Amino acid sequence: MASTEADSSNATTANTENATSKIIKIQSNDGQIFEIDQGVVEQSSTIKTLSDLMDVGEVPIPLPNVKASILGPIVEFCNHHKNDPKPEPLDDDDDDDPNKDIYEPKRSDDIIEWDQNFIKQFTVAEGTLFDIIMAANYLGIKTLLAVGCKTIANMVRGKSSSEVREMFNISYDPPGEGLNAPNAIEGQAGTVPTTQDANATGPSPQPDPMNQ
Amino acid sequence: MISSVKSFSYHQNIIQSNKCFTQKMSHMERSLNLNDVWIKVSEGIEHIYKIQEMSAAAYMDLYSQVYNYCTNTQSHGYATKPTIKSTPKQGGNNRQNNIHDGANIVGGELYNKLKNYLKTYLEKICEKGLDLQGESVLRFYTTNWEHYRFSSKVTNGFCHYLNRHWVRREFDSGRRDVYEIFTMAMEIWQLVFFQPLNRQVTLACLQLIKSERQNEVINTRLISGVIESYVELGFSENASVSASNHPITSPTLAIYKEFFEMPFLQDTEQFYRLEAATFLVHNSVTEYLKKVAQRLDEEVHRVQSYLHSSTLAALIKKVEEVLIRDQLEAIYTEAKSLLHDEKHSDLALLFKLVSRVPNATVELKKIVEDHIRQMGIDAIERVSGSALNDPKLYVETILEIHTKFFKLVQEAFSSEQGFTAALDKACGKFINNNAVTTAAGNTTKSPELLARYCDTLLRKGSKAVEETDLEEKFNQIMVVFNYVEDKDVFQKFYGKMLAKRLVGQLSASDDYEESMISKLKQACGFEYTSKLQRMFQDIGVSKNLIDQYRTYCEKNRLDDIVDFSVMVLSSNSWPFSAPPNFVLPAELKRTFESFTKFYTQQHNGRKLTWLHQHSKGDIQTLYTKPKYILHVSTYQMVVLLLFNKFSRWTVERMQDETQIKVDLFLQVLCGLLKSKLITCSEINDDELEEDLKETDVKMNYNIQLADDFKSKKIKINLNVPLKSVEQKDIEGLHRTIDEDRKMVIQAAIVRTMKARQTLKHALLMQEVIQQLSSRFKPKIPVIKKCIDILIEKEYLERQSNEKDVLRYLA
Repeated sequence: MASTEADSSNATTANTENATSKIIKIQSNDGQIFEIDQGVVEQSSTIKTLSDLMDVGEVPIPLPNVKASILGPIVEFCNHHKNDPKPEPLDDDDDDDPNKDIYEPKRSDDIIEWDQNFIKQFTVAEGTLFDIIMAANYLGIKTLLAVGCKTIANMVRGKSSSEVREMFNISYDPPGEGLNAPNAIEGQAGTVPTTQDANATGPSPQPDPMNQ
Repeated sequence: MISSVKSFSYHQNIIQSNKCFTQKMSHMERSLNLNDVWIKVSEGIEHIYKIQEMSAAAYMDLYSQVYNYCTNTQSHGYATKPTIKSTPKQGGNNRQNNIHDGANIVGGELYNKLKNYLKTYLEKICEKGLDLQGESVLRFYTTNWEHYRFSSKVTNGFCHYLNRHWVRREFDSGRRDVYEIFTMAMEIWQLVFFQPLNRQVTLACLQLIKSERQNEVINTRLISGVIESYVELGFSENASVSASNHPITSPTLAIYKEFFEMPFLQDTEQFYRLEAATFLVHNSVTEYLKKVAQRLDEEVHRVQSYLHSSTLAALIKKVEEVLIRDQLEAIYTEAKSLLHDEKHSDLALLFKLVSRVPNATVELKKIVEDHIRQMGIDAIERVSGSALNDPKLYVETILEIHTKFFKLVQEAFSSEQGFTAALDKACGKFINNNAVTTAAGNTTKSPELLARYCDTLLRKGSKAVEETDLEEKFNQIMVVFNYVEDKDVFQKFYGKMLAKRLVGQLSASDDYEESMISKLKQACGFEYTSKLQRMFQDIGVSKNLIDQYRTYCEKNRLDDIVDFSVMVLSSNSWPFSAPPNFVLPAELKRTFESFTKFYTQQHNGRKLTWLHQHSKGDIQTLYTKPKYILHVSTYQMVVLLLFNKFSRWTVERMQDETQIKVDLFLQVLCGLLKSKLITCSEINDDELEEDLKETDVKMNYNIQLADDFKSKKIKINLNVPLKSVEQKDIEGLHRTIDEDRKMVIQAAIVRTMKARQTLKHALLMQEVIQQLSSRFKPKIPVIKKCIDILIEKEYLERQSNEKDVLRYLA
């Protein structure tokens, strides 16, 4: 339970002092409890923020959006990456750097071997690949999120749009209907991108090179 | 062909456009309807803000609500369109617009609802406190602040997803009124709570501080709570942010400074201004300074305890200004009286405080310098009567002053360089210009007395030799020497006295002589002491010469040579000049001629001049029982030897026979008469007892040896230096000094002009004075005279068109 103290930042420092060897319990939405230590907590911004704010004690933190079959592997991933050196603040979002060539692609071929093997256990067909990506997003685990997205990028690279549709089981909406309808998705009203391929679904953030 | 994909927005697309996997997720209960979400969230917020408690489970539930809401795509038109400002960004980044065409960022509605909730919530609370004052308003403010802050942190936590995505996107697209939740909460607080209350709150804080300054105990926690709040409220937007890691806003101290620090400093200024004025009416300045030191410590402590550290510098500066700088006049006056009363520790405190104010110590240094100078002058004035002729008294008085004030500078001013310089300046002034030098008529009296003092220490039989460590005394002499302006005068006198000592074999110790000379060499350079060194060398050479002569005599069987020793002095090193000649008695003639022959054989081309006025010898009285040995000067010897020829002489005949100059002869005669060795029938005993003058002895008086001469000692020393000779010596010395100085000045002028070729008159004066400053202080009229001499000698000429400029003539 959290409560006001004279200085809530004291609570934080007290926590971090105790937490070097502190174990926190987390609970998937289907009831399974996992124990994680500070090194794992640090990797999940969601859990970290919570543990900084209050002393969780013995009560397991429930994670409503994550099931056990996904949470388990996530804990495994984080345990493996516990001792990674902290990366330089990556320019996650280079969009605003006017000097950067806007068409320069981000790397997706630099996934380390262990991670590659790890991600192999999740597939598109079973939907587990997207599960893991969603969970990583929910828990704020940047490294895992990056691995997942790069994997998908690698899967998509070089494929035609129909191949992609098939791979991910995306339904086909002709232009002007379904998801391509003007009001279907927020923000799209009145802004139909002109570079859309008739076959493409959903707007893409860049001009589609396929169609150039 | 899609060659590259931007990771994040791509994954957003995946999430959004794949109906399949959203179906997969449907087992979770999610209401994606804004109103439903808001109900849950507002319940959570209410709970945290009011009850200040939240369980981890509740937190995660709220987090999930926000997360799901933000990632939802299917909400039916409740999400707001992200507004796109058409402000063109640098570099013309088109991707911004593209992103918002594509990525579907939800969150605006939620953000606004949060904002309004907080606003209303705070407004309600604030109303209750508007009428409060003093401690109660502080309690009201700080308690509510602490609760609000904590709750906002928690809310910020579970709205993390909203922060990371929607807020950032808005910011990236140019919108500047959207912040992370915590910052937004701060903004609301500032608007709703802070604005109406800050005046009362700040005022209450200042009142408490005032009470504390008046030695009451206060609850400092109330103030520190307010300070923390003000500090945390200040933020400014960062202009451009490239990475999502970089914060949108950064903290600033703007609020703190404007709404607390400024009124606080003003208050402080008033408080201390009043305190200074009232305190000084009833208390001494020294007591005041103690209080100032105390107050300064107090303020430092205050900042450390409950104010923000950035205030420290400005606060201390302000206190120093009001308490020290504005009271400097009173402080300077106090400094003067403390100097008089020699209260070193009080002065030390005063100095420490004054040094805090920039440039304030300048005046203090001046005060110290003037004080030391005045003390020095007074001290010498007190002893001026006797010190004029008592070198020991004079030098010791000076040293006393110097030591005393050296100690003062050490103890009160921590030997700070500026004060040591003040001491030096003051000493320079009073040593060269005081009652004694005024009485003597010129500034050269100081170095003269100093040289005499050295002489007394180095002479045989001086009491000082046994008393204390002479080295120490020499060091002290050097201290005084360094302040003397006319160092060349010292050199001349010292040289003269050294010569006398060497010639008369009166040195107490050769080691001491050497030590003193090396100290002088260190201070003034080789050239200064070269003559002195050569004098020593000559003595050593002479010793060898004697041995050689003795061998020569034996070899050549010169038996009728009187036993004698000689010192051969190189004439330009020694300050002696040839005496007028006279007739050598037969007894001595052969000896002198023999030696002259010997010497000129050895050193061809050198000319020997006998210095009879410094020579002396021993005569034995064979006509008395017991036989006395008389130690006499050459002149005395010559006169006495006359009685080997005849037993009676008239004065006139004696003078004629010896050809000694009349005034000199009469002096010698008087001296011998006084010793009772010879008698004069025309002078009775009474006159002899009184001071016999040369004028009393007439040319026709008869002189004869006293047969009944008796003395207690066998060896009698009659060789007393003659006053007139002494007097002439000194006058001669001064003349030499002046002449030498003229030469030196002229040399300096020529040197300067040769280098510069043309130079203005005034500048030439400056140059010359500067060059010679280490030796003596040349007087302006003398320099002018030298310039004229050089123009006459055609070394320089005046420029025809500009009278002021001189030109060097090769």
